[in-house]
Amino acid sequence: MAKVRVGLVGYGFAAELHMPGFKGLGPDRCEVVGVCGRSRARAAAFAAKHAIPRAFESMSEMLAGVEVDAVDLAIPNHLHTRFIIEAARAGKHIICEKHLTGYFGETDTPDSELIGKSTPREQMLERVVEECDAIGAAVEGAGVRFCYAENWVYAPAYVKLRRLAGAAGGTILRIEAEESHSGSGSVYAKRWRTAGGGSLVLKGAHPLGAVLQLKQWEGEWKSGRPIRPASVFCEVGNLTWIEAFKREPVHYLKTDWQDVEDWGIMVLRFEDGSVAEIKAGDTTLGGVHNYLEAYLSNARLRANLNPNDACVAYAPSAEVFGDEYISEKIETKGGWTFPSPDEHWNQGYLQEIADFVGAIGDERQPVSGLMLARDVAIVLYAAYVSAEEGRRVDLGRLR
Amino acid sequence: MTQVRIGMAGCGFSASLHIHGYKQVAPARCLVAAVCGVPKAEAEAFAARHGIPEVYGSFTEMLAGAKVDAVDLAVPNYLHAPFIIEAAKAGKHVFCEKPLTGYFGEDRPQEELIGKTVPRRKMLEQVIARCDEVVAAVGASGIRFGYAENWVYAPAYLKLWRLAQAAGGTILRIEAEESHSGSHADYAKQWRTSGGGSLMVKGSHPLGAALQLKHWEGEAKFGRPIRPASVLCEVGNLTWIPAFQEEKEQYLRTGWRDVEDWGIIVVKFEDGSVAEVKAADTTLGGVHNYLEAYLSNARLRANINPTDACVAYAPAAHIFGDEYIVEKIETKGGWTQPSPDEDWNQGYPQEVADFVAAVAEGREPVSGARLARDVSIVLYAAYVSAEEGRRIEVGPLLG
Repeated sequence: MAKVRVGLVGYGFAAELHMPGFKGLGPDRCEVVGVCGRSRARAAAFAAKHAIPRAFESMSEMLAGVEVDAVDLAIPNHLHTRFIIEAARAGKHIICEKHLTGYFGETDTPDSELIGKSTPREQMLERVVEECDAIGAAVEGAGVRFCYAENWVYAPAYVKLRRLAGAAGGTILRIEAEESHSGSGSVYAKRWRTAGGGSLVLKGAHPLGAVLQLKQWEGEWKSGRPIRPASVFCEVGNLTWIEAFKREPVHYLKTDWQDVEDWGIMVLRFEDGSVAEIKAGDTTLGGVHNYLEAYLSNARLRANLNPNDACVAYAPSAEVFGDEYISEKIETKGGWTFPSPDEHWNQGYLQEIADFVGAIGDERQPVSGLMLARDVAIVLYAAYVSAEEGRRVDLGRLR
Repeated sequence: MTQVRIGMAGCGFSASLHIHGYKQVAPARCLVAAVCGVPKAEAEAFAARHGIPEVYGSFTEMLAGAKVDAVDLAVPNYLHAPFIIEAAKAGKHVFCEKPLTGYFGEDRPQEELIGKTVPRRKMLEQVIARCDEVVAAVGASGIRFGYAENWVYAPAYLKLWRLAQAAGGTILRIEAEESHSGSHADYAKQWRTSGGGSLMVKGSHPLGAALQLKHWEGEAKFGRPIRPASVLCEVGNLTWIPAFQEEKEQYLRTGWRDVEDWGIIVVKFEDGSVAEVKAADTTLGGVHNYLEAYLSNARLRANINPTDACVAYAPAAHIFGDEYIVEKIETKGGWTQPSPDEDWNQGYPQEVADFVAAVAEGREPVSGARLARDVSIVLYAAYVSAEEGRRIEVGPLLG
């Protein structure tokens, strides 16, 4: 296998998340040869921290200054389309954080505008479809690999579930999947202009991706072609806007969602008649709640991504475990808890990078590629249309 | 304390369930004095088995001849409404199996598969009219009406409600489900006899429990119930998927003629909170009955069945011989969660005891006509939503 040279675009949270994956593969297989970002100083600091040889101020400067095979786009979602097209034109393979794209307003929309309250979802969906088409044309035209960083698809429990589904061979009749917790802390998550949506986009995209991949895989494995989603029926809500909740003196859930939902459910029907229920909430106490359950005709399978009971703990008071990490978003370390032994590994962050480097080096398709990225983006915004208009939305015309 | 004399209508499965409940009430307090059934021979055998002194060949005869205070309607669903009205006119208290009523195609005697031909909106209109007739008859006569929704009496559910009261937080979201691998009875597979599919036969339980929880919350906090505002619903026939039908060995029940074998109802309440209610005849692994409540300051789960009160493992399916494990489990091999007392866990003796006490003490039972009517109307509004692919406002329908 050829060694893959990666240029990292961005130096934030997602970049930090990807670095252990690249490093773990060893220098013979993969090397991050450059990093770029709007602040040269921050790029240089990130480079120094991770022993990356070069730092740049922009992707074009990086592509001109150092030989890379692939770029890793660890940048805000609203920049994805432009950078993907630019990288594809330069003939570079692409690793892209989720989501592929979304609706973040027009170029002349004031930053202060609550577009989630003012923009019809149908208009958002049209724009997302256009952007997906432009990305598809650029990537396919350039013949580069596109890797969609949906970590759920690589989580060990999910991969085991898929192997068991393969061994059983039964029809996947129904899938239930959820990602929830007590709410994002960051300000950017609370406005459509910066987040591109609420709980469904920021959390629901993960279980949605995993569900779509499972039916894609089932179809490809059994009949040589993926089973695609046919319709979506969706409801969203703002549970922290309930009057009785607002009057409570202590809030354990994050509040201040401005124009995005804090809870949602999408009910998908696939072209074979099977169904999926995908849920996301920023209103769930008890730590992050990520799982996928598959109801087959001859088996029932559940992947507990987080929490799971690999390790179980009890403490009679919240101070007992001190600074030791328990699990994402757990409100107290007291009582019974399910501490995560290795959250990175459990959630597939290392495994996704290994697949992407393998796909690029070995010239094969990654497990999580462009079709999945596109389907997730389009289904999400079609779901928003469904919730706004109170009707089931057909997905056939959007594929 | 007065002894409540019961006349049992019906001698099938639910009659047996109720008899076990009556037997657990002190004999000084309650006596099953008569039973009626068609054919009478079956009622006679039932009477002999359970020591019931009088037997009648019809409900009308029993009302006229037997000295009873109350009747227990353990008869097919389509007989509920006419029997309730007849009993109310005769001044007898009524304990009625769920659901209160439905659409059974009485106006279309020529059509066999009414689930395929009758628009759901027509069904809903008739169900509302029938509910109103029943409620009017009950109200005019001044009798007690008990709605046999056992979930509302299940110990785990009641504990959940007490914890919710203790916490005092807002009930933001409820998830509830009743599923298993499919009803055996032929009547469940055809709309004409069942009045619907999984949602009607199974979903009415978790739906009733979810509605009751918000009802109680409103009464406890504001002195008035929190009512359902809208429903969005999807149904499916997962056992009609071609790939499933081609499978050689089928572990799920099949033969659903014109009723769904899976469904989900998303309810929005007038305060902005939500409930996800699911039902399926396509779930392996034994019955799967639970309700989870997401509060602003607590998270609560009632595992109605299975629970892990008792956990068992057997390396082969024959090890436990004839010992009962749990409803609908396909094999006794592997890990199982045997139910120590399924009737008690599911609230059957408790619902009967509450009805007897309500009659004796001249008070309303916990589960009464209001809940019965709400469940029927929300269910059929959900069927309209699924058929027409749009959200249905239920506030005006419920009044």
